[in-house]
Amino acid sequence: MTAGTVTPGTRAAGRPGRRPAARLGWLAGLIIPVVLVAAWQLAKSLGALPYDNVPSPLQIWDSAVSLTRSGQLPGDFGHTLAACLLGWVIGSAVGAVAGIALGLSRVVWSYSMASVEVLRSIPAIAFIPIAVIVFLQSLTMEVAIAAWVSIWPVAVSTMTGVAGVTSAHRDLAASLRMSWTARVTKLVLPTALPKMLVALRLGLSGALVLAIVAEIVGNPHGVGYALVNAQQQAQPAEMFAYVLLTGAVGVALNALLSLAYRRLAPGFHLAETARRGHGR
Amino acid sequence: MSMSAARSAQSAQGAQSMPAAQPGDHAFSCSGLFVEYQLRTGPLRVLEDVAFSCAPGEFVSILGPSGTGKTTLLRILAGLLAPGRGSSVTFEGAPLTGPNEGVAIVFQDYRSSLLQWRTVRKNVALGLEGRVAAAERAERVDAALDLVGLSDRGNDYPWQLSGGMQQRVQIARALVMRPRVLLMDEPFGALDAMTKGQLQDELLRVREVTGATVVFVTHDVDEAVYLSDRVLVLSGSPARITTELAVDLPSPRDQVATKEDPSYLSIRHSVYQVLKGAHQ
Repeated sequence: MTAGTVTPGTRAAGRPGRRPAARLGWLAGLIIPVVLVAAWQLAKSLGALPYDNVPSPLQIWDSAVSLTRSGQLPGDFGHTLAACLLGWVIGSAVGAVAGIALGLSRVVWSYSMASVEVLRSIPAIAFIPIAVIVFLQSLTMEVAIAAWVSIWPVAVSTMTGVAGVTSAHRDLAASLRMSWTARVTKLVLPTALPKMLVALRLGLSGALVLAIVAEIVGNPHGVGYALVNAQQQAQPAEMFAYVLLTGAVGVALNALLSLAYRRLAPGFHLAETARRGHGR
Repeated sequence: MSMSAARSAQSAQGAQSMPAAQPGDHAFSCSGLFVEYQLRTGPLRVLEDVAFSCAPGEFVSILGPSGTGKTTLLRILAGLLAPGRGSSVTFEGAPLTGPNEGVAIVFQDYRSSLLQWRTVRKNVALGLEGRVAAAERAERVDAALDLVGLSDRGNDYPWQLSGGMQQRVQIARALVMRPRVLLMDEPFGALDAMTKGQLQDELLRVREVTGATVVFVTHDVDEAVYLSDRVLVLSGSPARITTELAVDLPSPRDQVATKEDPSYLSIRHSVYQVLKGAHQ
């Protein structure tokens, strides 16, 4: 009658272990950037770079340090990140609700899917001039654009995720006489979650891009405007500092999102890892 | 029928009269039950004129070859599928209109029925969430896990358990609802012979402890005879209950002694005769 007698050791076998080589693997990825930066610095120092307006890595570093000390760079990134994250949260929420409705209701799907297909095929960037006219040169304009670009991947992935609820789970929900809300929160959303995560990541990088573009062509604030400004004042080192840091911010946001997923939804993360492990 | 009559007399509803005399005393009762699927080629009748009833506390097996409509019949009793118009199906004397409180199902495919992203504990708790306070819920989950011998695996995920253990989780998920009736759809069909035997004995013990009525679908003759108070043979196309056999074997049953009992062998013999006759 003890469970342990049935199949001892399944617990240990079920948990995937990482090989030590994989744990240090991220260090290998640093080799190429370090070599490239060193080569770049060397070429610049030797005068071998044909473009005068390309600064050396050291110049970029100096410029990043002084921009940080003056408070300009943190302020610009704060503005852009606020617009990007606020828009992303709003857009993702709208997208999730729309996706659930599209996935659960045949009627909603029939009436709205054509519109969704048209709207999401229009490049979000094309809406920026319209957003500037409607919301003027404001943070709201940036948020609206960032939200718009986040809606579509989340809506479509949630919709397909919702459709993945199995008949076995529908039977289970019916036999337990679960309420509609309980079905959505306990079966539908968890089923859709892995697909939604992919979309949330897409949406987040899209929101960052669009927030910066909106600042370049619309609202004179944040990272986008700083880039334009540095260009007009012929400060290439500043421009490079902003661009490279934007890349770092994008990577950090993505990593944070993955970490949150692993922490907040351990069951999914572990189940996926196990599935991949079995496939090996 | 002596066993089932004795059981119904013992049970809380404690009727002295014969089960057939008072329909209110039945856990389930159906007559003239039929099911038709609408195919492109026309209606296909799967079940025809099915009539039986089961007393509270009784263990009834529905036995038949694959594809006869055993699962269909169980889904009707579970309220997951509506029978053809004019069929009469009652649960505890009232017409059956949908899934009933007091009825729990154990599905055939544990892998697709368990929520892989929830721990064992949270899988078992699913039906209690939003209905029972957290403290009582924890208590009932503990008791259910204890009953199936999984007390030490509560924090594992289903995919970390063997097939037999996953099926126990499903049984615990049903028991935690304190059902008066357990509907089981070939629950041990996918398990190896040893695990199967072990789980059969656990099921009999659980049933002894809880006093629940069990309707058990299987295509395994030995399993049906070993477990049941009564075996209903479903056969033909469209299928109907062709034979009803009372299993008058002493309790508690034993995998070795019961299966050597001459009356076990003779009942087993009759069931095989019936099934053989149905195929000719």
